[in-house]
Amino acid sequence: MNSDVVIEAKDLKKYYTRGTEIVKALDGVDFTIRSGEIVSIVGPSGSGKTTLMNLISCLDTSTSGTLIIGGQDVTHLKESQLINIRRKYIGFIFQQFYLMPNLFAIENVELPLIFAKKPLDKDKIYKVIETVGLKGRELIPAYMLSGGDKQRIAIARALINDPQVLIADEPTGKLELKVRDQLLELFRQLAQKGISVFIATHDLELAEKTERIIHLQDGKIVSKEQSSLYH
Amino acid sequence: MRKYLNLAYKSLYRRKIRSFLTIGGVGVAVAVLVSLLGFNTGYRKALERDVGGMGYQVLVTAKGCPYELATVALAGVGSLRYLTDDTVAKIKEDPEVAEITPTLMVPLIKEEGTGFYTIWGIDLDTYSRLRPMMKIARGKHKEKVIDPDTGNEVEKEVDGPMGGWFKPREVKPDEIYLKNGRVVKGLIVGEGEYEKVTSRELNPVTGEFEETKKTFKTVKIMLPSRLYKKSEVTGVGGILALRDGTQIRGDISPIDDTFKAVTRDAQGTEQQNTYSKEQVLRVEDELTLKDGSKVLGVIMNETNEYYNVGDIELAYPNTEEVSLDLVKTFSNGKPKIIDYYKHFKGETEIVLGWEAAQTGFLQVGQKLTLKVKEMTKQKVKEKIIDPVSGKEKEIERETEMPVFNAYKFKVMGILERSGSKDDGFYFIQLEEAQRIFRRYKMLTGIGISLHDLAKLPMFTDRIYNRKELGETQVISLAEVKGTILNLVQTAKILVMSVAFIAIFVSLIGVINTILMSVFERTQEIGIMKAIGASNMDIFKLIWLETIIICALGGIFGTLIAIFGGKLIEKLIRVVMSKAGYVPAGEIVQFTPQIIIGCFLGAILLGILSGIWPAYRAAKMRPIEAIRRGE
Repeated sequence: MNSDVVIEAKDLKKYYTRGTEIVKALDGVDFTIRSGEIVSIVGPSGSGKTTLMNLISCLDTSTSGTLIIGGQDVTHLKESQLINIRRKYIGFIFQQFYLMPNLFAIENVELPLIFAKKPLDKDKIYKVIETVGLKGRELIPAYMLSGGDKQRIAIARALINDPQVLIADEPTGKLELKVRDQLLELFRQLAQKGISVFIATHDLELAEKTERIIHLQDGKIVSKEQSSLYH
Repeated sequence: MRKYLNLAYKSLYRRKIRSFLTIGGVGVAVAVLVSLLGFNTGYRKALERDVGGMGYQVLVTAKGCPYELATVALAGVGSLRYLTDDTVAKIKEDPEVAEITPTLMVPLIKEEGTGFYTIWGIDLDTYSRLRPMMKIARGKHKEKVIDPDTGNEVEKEVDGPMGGWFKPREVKPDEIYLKNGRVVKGLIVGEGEYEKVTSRELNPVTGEFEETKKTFKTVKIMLPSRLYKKSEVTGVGGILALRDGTQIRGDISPIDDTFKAVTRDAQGTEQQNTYSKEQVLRVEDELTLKDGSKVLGVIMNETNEYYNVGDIELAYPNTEEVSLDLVKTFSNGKPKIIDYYKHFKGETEIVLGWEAAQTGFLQVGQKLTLKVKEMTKQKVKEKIIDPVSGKEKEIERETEMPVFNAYKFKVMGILERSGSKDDGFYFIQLEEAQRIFRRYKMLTGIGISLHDLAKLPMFTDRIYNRKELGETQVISLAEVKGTILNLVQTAKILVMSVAFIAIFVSLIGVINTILMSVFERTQEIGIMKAIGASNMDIFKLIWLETIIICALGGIFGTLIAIFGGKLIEKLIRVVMSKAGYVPAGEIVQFTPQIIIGCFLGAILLGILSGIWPAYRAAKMRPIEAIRRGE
């Protein structure tokens, strides 16, 4: 495997059963993501985007196939081992931000460090907050922040454990256009530092601005032309 | 850990009202538990102090229910039963008795009806030997004294003993001199009269019987008396006790200032002698009963069926009416009745327990009037329609009526604070108590210390076997304590069960609150897992939240119990005083063990109730948790 490949999926499948019916959420997906690469994944609802995101963020396990993250095969790992992978390699950003509303901005950023039993290095925490452009707003309770600021804090929280991959599920869905561009700019800066950014989105405009687009359709990777999004 | 605590605290703070209510629930349960344990400790200590302060180990009372006896022994209130004065001398004959003291407890209902004045009639000599711990208080105080120059009462500040004990004085029984030379001794309680049908004749005109009635004036006297059926009596004679110790049995009758005694020897030869008043100590009647036993006393009157004999040993005092026709007269024609109390001009001296003095703002030398409500039996006349004749007729009925009385005393001394019930009592001389409260020759209890307490069972057996002592009961104070503690224990078990139910309910409440919060935060828990929280991290967080709730509930409950302790004590006093005895002093006491124990108990409650919700939260799969929240 190429040394700068961060994520590699081979024939990745995820099937669910719904009553007697088998739902093929992902049906043999192959792709790689290199370090410092911004990749977006697009597809209509039910195409398997979220399932793929859950698999590569180690929140879920595949039915078959291989998933290698940071050179480690995570396909058959237990939940307790997956936690370590999440802590070590992955930063998560959600469409709804999912901050703890009663905690200060800075405390939200500290959470992954607390769970990873790492020392609360104040310099580092402030630096990350500065990176996302929220210097000076550390001590504002999360529920008082604007949507854009909430997402920035969510990004800071995702970055605090020095992940190799930043997984963003509809990161701009709730944000204004201007903020969206600022966020994209931030992703570019992070990518320059070697962090891979993997964005699941409906927003084709945003996707067009990333380096690579993966089209998903009915659980499979398809070409742009085959994607129903363009028809 | 500090960070986890902070997270748990903030999470609880987010749901302020619910968290506060749950803390309140735990708090109430803990408060109930702390109060109960505090009551248990305090009550036991107070009881031990009261029992320990009694000074004697054994108490003899009239037979009754053991709890009531215990109550009387420790002096709350209760329906009193009485022993007679003579019992003391009889019990004293027992070789095991080291010291013996008779007591009469008189609970007087305060005029306003709220509570009692508890007066103890005591025999100072024996009482103070048995209870040396009862000392006159010392210190700076004010006394009321008579100014030698002006003769006026003035207040003076004194440093030293607060007065002293009352001075025991002779209290003589009242006397009624009968025409037949006998003297009836007792307590004169008033005058009376009764109607007696003297003849019944048939009126030939109306065809109805006509009765001739005569009203007899009587004097009412309280004395130990008993009715003897004539059929049970085989002989009645007089007995003349001379000062030289000889006793002459026969027909004794007075002639002027001398006594004529007609005696018969074994052969039935009659002999007659006259004795001067100076030679004679007393004259009594002697009844010989069928079983051969003899009764010494004074026959006050007799009917066709009975002899009413007064002034006899070990009999229960009753109020009897003696017809004035039978009473000797003075030279001025007035009946020879000597009522010592009527002519007594002094004041009854009283010694007060510390609290009694404080609450009444009383000083040594001051006059004290106790206004009380007493129930007395009174005859009331009522008109009814005779069901047979249909005519209206008047009947007499006895009924209990409240009478307001005032008893006057002079404060002689104030006792040291003992922390026991003694602090609230009033002490006067036994004989005076028996007189002024009309409980002639009556006792409520006899305190005894034995030479060897181990021989108590044998002593008790001997007392019970002496039938002449009547219905007595011997109780050791250890038993009294046991009886009361048993009763309290029973009540405690009941209330403890309630406390445990309260704790159980609060446990369910805590589980419910935390579980609800877990379900509400399903997504949040999922996110925490997504950003690196392990199952253990989530378990710890939820568990900590529960422990914080219970610990705060524990603190809150303990504070309620401590600050509400006085209120709880008041409440218990009100409830328990209705049931009987409540010890003096603090009956709800919080020891550090109780407080620490209950606090740790609350934390244990948190640990236990937190396990299930924390487990449920930890077990959530992150992906499902996030999805379920959307």
